[in-house]
Amino acid sequence: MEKIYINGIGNISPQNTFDESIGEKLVKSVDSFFVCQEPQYKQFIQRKLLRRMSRAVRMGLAAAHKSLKEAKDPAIDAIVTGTAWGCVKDTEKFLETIIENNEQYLTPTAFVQSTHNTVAGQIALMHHNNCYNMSYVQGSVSFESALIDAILLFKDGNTQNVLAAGIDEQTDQLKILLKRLTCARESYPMGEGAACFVLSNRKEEFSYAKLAGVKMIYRPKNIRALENHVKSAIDNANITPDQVNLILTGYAPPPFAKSMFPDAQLFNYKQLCGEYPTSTAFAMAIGAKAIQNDEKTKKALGLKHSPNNIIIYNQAENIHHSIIILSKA
Amino acid sequence: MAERIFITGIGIISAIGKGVSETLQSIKSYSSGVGSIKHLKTNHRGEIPLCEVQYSNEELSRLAQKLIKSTSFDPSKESLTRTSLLGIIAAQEAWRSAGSPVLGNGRTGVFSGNTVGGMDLTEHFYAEFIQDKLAGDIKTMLTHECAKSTERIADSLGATGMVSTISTACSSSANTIMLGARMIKHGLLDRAIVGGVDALTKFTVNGFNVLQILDHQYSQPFDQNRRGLNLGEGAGFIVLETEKTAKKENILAELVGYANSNDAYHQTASSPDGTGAYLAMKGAIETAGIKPSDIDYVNVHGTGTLNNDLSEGIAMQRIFGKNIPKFSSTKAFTGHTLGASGGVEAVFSVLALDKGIIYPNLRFQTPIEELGGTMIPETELLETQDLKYILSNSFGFGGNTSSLVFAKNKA
Repeated sequence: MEKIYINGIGNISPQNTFDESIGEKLVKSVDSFFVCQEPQYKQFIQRKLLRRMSRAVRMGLAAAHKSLKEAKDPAIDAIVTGTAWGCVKDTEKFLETIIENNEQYLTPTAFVQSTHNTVAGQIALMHHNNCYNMSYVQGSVSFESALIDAILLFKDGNTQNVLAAGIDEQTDQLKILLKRLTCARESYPMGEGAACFVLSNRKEEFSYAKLAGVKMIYRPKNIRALENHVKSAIDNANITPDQVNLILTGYAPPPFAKSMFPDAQLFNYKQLCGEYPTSTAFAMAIGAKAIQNDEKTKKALGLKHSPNNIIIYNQAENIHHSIIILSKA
Repeated sequence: MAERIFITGIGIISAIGKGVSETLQSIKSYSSGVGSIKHLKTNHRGEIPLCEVQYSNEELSRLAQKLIKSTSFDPSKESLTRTSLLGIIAAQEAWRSAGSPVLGNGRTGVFSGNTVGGMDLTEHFYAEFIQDKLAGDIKTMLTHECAKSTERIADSLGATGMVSTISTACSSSANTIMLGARMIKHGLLDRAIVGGVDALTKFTVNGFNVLQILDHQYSQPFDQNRRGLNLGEGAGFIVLETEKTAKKENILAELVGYANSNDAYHQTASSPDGTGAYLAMKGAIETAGIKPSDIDYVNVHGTGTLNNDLSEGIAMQRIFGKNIPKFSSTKAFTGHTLGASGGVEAVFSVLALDKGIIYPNLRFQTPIEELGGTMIPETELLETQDLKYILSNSFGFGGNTSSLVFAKNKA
């Protein structure tokens, strides 16, 4: 595995994670949903552009801006994003006008901003970046797909810094749909967020953590198969199971936790951000800060010591499983 | 590339036919897929021509069912979008033409490019939903995401390696080909089934219509008097394999170059100097380790819009100077199949190398003046061509530009 460092983070989430590492007072969900605490966008985006932008695009651009600033504005060689739901608001807007106006009197703005690559395209546009630009849309492993692409870019060579982001927005209509699908429940709230990272092959004094591995697993046959994938990922990351101090996961503990990592602490990160397809980007942001020994994050996660190695585990409907491994820089 | 990437299978479905042989037949008879709307339920019937796949969803479901042999996946028991059905049909053909390899060992990935996912069903659900928030079959929404068609394709094949979907507008499936090649090159997969799919929807037809880039007649790519594009639908998949697993008798061509860049000029329009297109072509030729003069044919993006063809033409002049290789846009046959176009045109590129043919750019009459009046695409089907390298371009909204270089099989 290449040495890849997280050198900048911009994290917009339901918690106060943009201006601080995480707010002292943790926010709870309301009516089965978490909603992002958004920054004042005027400081990053021109007012006239801002007006037309959906929340997904605003959040993505602001998170990118923050992560670049933290990494001291390095030249970026690639932009890779993951989003499962895409630009929901603009998609709804255009769809509704088609239906209500019977395919007449339409305007193109919502349509052109509805494509899933809008955030990555707008980041490129705003930063005049002609480099490699990709948008992944693979449900709960959209962000992991983007990370795997970033790892490939470092393997390809000629890449020093990659901007990687995971973005998903909620809308009022989507909330209704998610409730009807019984995805969103009081005991299982849904959320949203935009987290952006500067990944680099250079270790800096301000590096948060090392991205030590990413693995996507499609329809594992059984728990044994899943365990084998997890084992090969930690082998690849050059760590042993007993060196894993923390597993960031969802509501159900990972089926391999007790057998493989009996000593690791478990934390349900979704109680902070809710369930959404790219929630692992939020987990990677708080995980990296915990590794860097940030006191507020450690407190929020109930940690006494800063962990050396973290596994982020996520799965959706037993179709996609994923793990992300973070280590001390 | 350290590891050679071979193409061992191809599969296609579009307005000009189901499968490689029907497609070739249509090309040889100069038969375009554009025509008046038969399947899509839209008020633009009779006013806007489209390139529709000539089967209803029920017919597609039966066709898919016949093709699936290696898994228990049963299209008649699933709620499948038109997107999923088209994707399954093309991917199944690609897999079969690669010699029906067994895919269950986790070393075969499936990557598909797609722009609007299951919108073909969603837009019907939504019409009921906005009247009454409790109306409509809510399960429709479970088929909406772009990723769902990719999962159905992987399940129909029984592939268990990495499964992912790329959505970079009209360059989506060119990017899946690039991803597959890089995964194989770095030893993370032995094989990848890559390409893309998009079905026609009211959403896209109205979107492109309101942008005023739809031709209300039959499109004329790279023509001075071009009026816009004809939208199409379909799917194109190719099978990429490492040198170790590719069986000699199945090798059709080699993927030798690829590049992805961003125009970073405007959300929808291409830059006047074709920056993104230029960088993509230049990068792909460089990765291939060849010179621009080695390219024998360019399958251009060539949508037929004022903006694209001019910008792409300028970028080609920047790359090739006065010695522009033979080129043509096959979108005059298939229409612009959006997220599928890179996959559909990869199939065309591989076929061209394998059969030694160059495709006619249908309906071309007058060269574009701003390009000096010298950029004239091929207008006849050329056969018995000695082609070594083909460049294929795919550009999209959001500034996404990608190019691929395919080489004749020398193995």
